[in-house]
Amino acid sequence: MIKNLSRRNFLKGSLLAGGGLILGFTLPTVDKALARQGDIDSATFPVDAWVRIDKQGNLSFVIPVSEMGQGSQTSLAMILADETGADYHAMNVLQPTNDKNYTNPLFGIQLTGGSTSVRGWWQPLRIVGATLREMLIDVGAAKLSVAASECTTKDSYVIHKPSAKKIHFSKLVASTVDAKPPTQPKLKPSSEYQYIGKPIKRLDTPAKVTGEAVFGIDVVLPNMLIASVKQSPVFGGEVKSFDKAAALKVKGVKAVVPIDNGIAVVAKNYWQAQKGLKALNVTFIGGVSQGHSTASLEKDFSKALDGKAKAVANVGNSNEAMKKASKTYRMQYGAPYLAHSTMEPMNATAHVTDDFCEIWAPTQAQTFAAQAAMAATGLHADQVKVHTTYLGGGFGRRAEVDFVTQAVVVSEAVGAPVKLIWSREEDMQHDVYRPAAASRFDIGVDENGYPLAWHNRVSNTSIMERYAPQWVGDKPDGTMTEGAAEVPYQLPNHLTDVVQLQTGIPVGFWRSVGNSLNCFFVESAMDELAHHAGKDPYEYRRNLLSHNPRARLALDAVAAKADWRKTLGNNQGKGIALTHSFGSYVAQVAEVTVDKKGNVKVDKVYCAIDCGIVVNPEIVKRQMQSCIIYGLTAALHGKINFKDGHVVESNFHDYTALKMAEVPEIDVFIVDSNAAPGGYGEPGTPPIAPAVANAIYSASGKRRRELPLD
Amino acid sequence: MQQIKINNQTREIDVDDDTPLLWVLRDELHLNGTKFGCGIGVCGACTVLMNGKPVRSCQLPVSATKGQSFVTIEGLINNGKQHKVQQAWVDVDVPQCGYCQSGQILSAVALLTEVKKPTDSDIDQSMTNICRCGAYPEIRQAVHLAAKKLSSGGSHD
Repeated sequence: MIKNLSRRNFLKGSLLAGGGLILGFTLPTVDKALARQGDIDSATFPVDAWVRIDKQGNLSFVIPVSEMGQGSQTSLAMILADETGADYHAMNVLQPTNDKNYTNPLFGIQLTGGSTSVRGWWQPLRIVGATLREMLIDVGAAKLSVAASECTTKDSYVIHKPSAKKIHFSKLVASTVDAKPPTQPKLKPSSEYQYIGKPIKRLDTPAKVTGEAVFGIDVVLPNMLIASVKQSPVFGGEVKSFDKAAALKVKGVKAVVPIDNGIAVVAKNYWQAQKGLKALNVTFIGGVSQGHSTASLEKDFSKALDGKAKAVANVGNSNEAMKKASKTYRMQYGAPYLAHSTMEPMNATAHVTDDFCEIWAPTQAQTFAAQAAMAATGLHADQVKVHTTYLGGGFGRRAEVDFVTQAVVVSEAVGAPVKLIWSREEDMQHDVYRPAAASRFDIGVDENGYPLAWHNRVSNTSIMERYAPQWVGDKPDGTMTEGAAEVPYQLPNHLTDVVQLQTGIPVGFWRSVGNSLNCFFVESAMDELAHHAGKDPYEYRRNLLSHNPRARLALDAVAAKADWRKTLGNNQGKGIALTHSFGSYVAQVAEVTVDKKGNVKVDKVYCAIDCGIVVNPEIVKRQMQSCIIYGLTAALHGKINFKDGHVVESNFHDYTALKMAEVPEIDVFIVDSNAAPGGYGEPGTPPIAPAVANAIYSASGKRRRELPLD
Repeated sequence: MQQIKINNQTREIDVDDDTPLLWVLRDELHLNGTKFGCGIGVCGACTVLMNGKPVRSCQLPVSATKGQSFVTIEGLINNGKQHKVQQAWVDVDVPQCGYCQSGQILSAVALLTEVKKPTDSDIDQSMTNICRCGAYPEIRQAVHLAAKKLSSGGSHD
């Protein structure tokens, strides 16, 4: 069971509800580089940052990541329970505050994203568990008067194997506090895992079927006010005029507070805040995205392909090889801006006092949330505390902290705790969008139709120049070309280059980021080349993967499961696509029906994933399903349009999401692998758009080079 | 001051007449299991039962609630026992982010009250709630399982 968030839980600090103790030992700080390489000799973590044990012997863990549906809370708890010998089913888990101990080992800041939770924490959390297990065994063996070397742990007991004598963790707590942690804890061999590798049920399910789970929007503090915002429709615009008096006349409205890009109205409840915003009659002026329309943007991206590009991959000599090609082809593709539309609209709760700022937020980015609060208030790092709630979807949107800043600013202005909630319209029209992009391929093939020269030019906008310029330096932002700069296929002469545009439209991480664009471009181009060569699209890809056995195995697996060579009915077609992203290999086959009017129905999707060692196969399967359905919504319907510099779509009626009736049957297969864990929260998304587009071609003979496909 | 009947209790509330039931539940009564998703009656996150029928509570002004009886996700628990639909949701381990699930579960309760053994097509037509995590295959599976559980009689055994 999971401890629900409550004010009391936050405030009571280190003591657990049962009156238990935090383990009071501290270990040397980890050498993260070594931990990442799998060398545990000098890689130990400060265990007391997250392992707690109460008087009943129930372990509580602070799981160092945000839970947004991806199941990482469960997966990481399984790792810890297994390595400790704790009873997973009796485990309490707690959500992280901003604390350097929960720094994502792969990012160097506290951030849940990039499908890093299991692959980043796999090794460190096993070390934490092993450390705790050895300490409990030392103490338990002494109490049982047996040799520690003859003891093991299971179901929260230390067990003396020869005599079967056992003692529960709960009787060892007090002594463990004074025990000396081992310097080289020994990790369990996989043959001894009790939970890892099994389809164990999620820890968060009970609270999520009763309405008890606390999302950001559910936080309630004493004397809390509710705020809502109206932000400049044109990005970067400013408030021109507003009628403050009219807003303050609305019943329940307490204050009108300017924010960076608009105005907040603070009231007793959300409905009054909305009425206050309407009465405010705010107008805006200016903005950096002014003048843009969908058509002008599409033209800009297309035209940019003739501009000055920077190479991001350059193998062999593409230009020279082009001259030797038997045939050359030019193809151009495009993809639109997309919104995240998480189910839970953006929100955050803040309480700012003279010397402290406390935040409760559905955030993927605790470090940036804390920094945003410091910047807004002038408080120091030790005066800011960020509590993480459940996230009603993240998909990259909650790696942003714009909504956190607003809650902090408004709370400080009114001197009270404030929960700030965006309307769906604000959420959709003030997103950081999946970038639009264009991509052009100049391919020269050999006499067998295989790529001899490969030149792929992408025009795109940078996420990182706004989000974290320090991560990029003077090279082109890799998010623009991920999935294009590195492709799974053998390409003897491979040039990928990029032209970066400035549009003024904010762009951000959207489930699988640049891969969501470039996988569509590359896998569509690959399909076209296969057809030009008169070869089967699966065999054609396979022949370019002899150097890449994991990718080939995933492709073979999905082709076998989909019975690739079977004949489909009239108007039906199948398409195949592959990605290597987030440390994993995913191949998909889509089967579609295209009717005479050109309407597309996706009938079935097969998916094979090799994500290395699997902690929880059921969670992996469902993440693949989730990735596919999220990707299908985008592939079939997703497009954010612009008019006069502002977003046209405003809610789910005009920016739709797949509903039950549209969802195809999806079969997911996990490829056996002993490789290091890979990610699985995102890599299922990239291949679905090209798999469907390629299937449409096979069904109808129509090549779709622009998304969406509806 | 107005009275409203929710989860078999009569509650007193003092809000503007045009306040949607959703925000009465959330901001006044702190029944936070009912979620805000779109505010235009499309996504279904705010679904509650009115006299046993599913309604989008974001579209129902409190002035229109007189004489009606409502059930929210909090009211599905009876004597400490989960409704069989909730039990099915637990058995199938349906939720991912979980934000839409209160609405999904109440939509399923309403469907199964009308149609004891729904077909996939019945489920497609009735279950129009949006789930951005795409837990639809599990929701469908759980609706079928709940139908089976309910067929033995009683809603909470």
